[in-house]
Amino acid sequence: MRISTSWIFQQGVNAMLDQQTTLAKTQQQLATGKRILAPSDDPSASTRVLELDQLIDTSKQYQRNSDYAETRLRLEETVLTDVGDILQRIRELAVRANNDTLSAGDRMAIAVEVRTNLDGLLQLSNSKDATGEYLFSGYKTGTQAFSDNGAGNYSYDGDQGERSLQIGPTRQVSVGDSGDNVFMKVDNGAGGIGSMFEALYDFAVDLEANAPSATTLTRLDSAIDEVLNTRASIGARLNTIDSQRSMNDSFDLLLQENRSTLEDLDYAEAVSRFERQLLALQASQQSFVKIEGLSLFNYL
Amino acid sequence: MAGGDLFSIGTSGLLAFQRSLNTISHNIANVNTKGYSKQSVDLATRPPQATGYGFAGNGVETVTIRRSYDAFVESSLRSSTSATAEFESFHALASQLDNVLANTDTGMNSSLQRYFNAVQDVADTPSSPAARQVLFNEGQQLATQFNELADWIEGVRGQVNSEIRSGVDEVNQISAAIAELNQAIVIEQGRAGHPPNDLLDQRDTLIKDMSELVSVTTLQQDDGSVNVLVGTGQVLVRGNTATPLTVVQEAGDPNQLGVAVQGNAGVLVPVTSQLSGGRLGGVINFREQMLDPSSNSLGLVAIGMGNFVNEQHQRGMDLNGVLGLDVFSVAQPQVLTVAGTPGNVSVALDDVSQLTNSDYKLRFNAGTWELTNKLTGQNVAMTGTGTAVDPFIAEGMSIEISAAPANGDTYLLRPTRNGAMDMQMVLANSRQIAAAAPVRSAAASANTGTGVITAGSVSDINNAVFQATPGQLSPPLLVRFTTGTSYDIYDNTNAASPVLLEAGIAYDPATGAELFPTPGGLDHGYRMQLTGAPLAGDEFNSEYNTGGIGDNRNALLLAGLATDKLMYGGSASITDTYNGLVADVGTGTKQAEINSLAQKRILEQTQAIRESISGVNLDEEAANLIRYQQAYQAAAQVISTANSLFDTLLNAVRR
Repeated sequence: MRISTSWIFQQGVNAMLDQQTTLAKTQQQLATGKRILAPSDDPSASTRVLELDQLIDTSKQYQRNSDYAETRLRLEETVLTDVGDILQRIRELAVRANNDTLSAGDRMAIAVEVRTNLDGLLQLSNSKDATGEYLFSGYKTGTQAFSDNGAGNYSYDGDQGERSLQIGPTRQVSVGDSGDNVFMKVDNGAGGIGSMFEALYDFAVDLEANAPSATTLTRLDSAIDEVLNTRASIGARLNTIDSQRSMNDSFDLLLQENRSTLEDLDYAEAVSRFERQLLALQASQQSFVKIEGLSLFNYL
Repeated sequence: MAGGDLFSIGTSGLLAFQRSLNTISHNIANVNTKGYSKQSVDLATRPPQATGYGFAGNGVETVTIRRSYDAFVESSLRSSTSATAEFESFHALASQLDNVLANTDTGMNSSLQRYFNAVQDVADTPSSPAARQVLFNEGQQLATQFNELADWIEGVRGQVNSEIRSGVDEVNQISAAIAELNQAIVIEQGRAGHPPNDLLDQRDTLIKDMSELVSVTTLQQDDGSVNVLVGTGQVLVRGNTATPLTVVQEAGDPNQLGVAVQGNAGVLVPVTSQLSGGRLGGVINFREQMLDPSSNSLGLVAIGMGNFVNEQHQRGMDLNGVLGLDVFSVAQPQVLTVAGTPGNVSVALDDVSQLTNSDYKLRFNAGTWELTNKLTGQNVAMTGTGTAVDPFIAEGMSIEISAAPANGDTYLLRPTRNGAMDMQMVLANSRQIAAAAPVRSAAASANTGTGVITAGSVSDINNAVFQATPGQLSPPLLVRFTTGTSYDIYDNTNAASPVLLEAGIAYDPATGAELFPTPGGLDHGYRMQLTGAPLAGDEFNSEYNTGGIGDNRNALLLAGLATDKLMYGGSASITDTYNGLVADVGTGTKQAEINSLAQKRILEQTQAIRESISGVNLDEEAANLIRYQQAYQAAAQVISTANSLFDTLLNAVRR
């Protein structure tokens, strides 16, 4: 085919422009380390990357939630351990108080210790977390959970709500126990239920009257059981959080790998492509100069 | 006489070769002239002289100066120029959207994600002022991001509009120039009887320039002029008259420019949708196929977000103990009047889950209203009668017609166009974030069975139970089991003496029971499940969640909106809808890029063919230069020979 002089020129220029465009793109890929620079480079992969980003971000949020849930449950566990220690100490005192050899004065001394521990128990039951929320008042975290209304009457002013946190796509874990369940459902020794505080209060009153009651141990054992049950349940929930966390971790890793496969640049491939494109550009520059120098007029 | 013939023949050669050499110089001089077609001199023998011994040759003459030109190639060149310009301008605009939508700084993904993460943080610590403030700020940030992205997309619409303005200006200038050239060509051709090659080249170049703006068809006339038409036969140039295109607003929307042509009696005929090809066709296509749907999709995401967050938030209770308010403002559909009385049609959002990213045409035709989805081109069925009481319902919109229409009345409905632009956060402060549910349950301490009741969730916040008196349930309830398999429900407003509402509701410990709706039809707008095996005398109650600042049930449900399939009839989440937009734009841009590259190759191919026919090759011209120079020298030699022959004769006679 006949070729016009301006077309020879134009073709040479077009070739160089095209090669510069591809070279610039490869250079940008190398600079960013990303295979996909805009969604149009690979529409389906880039949408997938967006979805993966969201999943990765969400799983990070689940880890945050898990961390928070664990902190809160560990705090509750610590408080309940202290509560358990107090109850154990009271139980020891109850066993000792039943000893017939004790004098009224001895029992009075024990009663003093019981009352001190009762104050401690009440304080523990009104524990707050780091953000100032009452641990045991259900949803009413701004309301003090338990009040001493005098004369052995204790009221629970929270509710039965138990806050759950989302720690996985389909898993929620309860991060609290309402004080009603933990402190208020102790066998009262008379076929009904009452509070732990009443059990301790009654015990102290009995001691002060030098008349230990046979039901005290039953009531204390029931209280200890309540605390142990709650702690067992907290332990189970902490295990759940642990296993969910490792699931989240491995899921996160999988997502990151997926994302990297889709989006990240294969440097070895890209560098060799870059070299190839560079060579092609140099070749077309050199051939352009040579061809442009050719003219019959040079020989006239 | 032989001597005279020799002079004459020699001179004819000199003249012809001189003409040829001039033409070669003309070619060389125009080697870089755009649209120039190589010219060549057609030579022929002069009429021979009849003699008794046969015909004696009489030398050479110039027949005409011809340009190397192929009408078919020229018209292919025009159409591939149009197609290339169309896809290139489409691609240039599309890649702007492409680069911005999926970008982590400018796209909506990270804002949406951060908003929902902040909701989770509030769910972790519902009464923490810090977590609430972060969510409050993220809400404002989200609305701002929607506004900014919508603004930016409108900026691209501004580019489309200025492309249309400048494109129409250029088309008009070129039309005028073609009309002038038509006139000159008709005159010159009539006078000389030969085609005025250089003028023809100039006109072809102008028509090709116009093809770059819009696809045109040409009709060659006998007198040498060319008529130029666009669209479906609208005349731009007829003979020496040019008809200008005009920029008009479509459906009275100043942001939507279109093109019209002067019709009969000065009536403007809109031709926007008929224009194809070229930069104009490209930007108009881009607007229809990518910009409008993208803008609508973004609006749809914003409306979905606003609507569903509001709905869920209203079902909650804030830190002040009152029911949740709207979080975001939700934009209402736009109605534009194409033909008919403005204000006769009003459109509201009916069901956000049914909305699409299309615009709609509502037209009154032959006594009925027809609704057409502009993206699919399909008619959409409407239920209802269009009155205020019973509006037309279709694709998530509710349409009300307030006055009698005339045949041909047409309205343009844009249900989601303003969604992102008009989104605002309307919550006043972070205490108003409704993380809690307004209702809670309790089991009586004295219960002896194993029955439990769930904390409860709101199913209908508009129920009078929630709305009658702020801050309380009207009424709170008491559930009392009369046996292990039957319970009564009491109005517990006065806990000292509950009032029986419904008695003897059967209970199966194996399956449990949902409190509402009751067999007697009672429904208080919330749901609580009873499970386990309660015993006679066991009691459960429901009440307003007064003081429940540590409750996060509603925050958890709000966080769930991130993945709930709420859009497109329950097939896509809010973020899916945004990702769909990114995918659509990415695919569209990729397609435009492929088309644009393919057309560019075709254009280059056609240009190469055109150049092989019409282009100037300097080596060829150099060779011809030598050839005609030698021929010229030979013809001069003929004159010289004739001269010496004449001298010889004179000398012979002089003696």
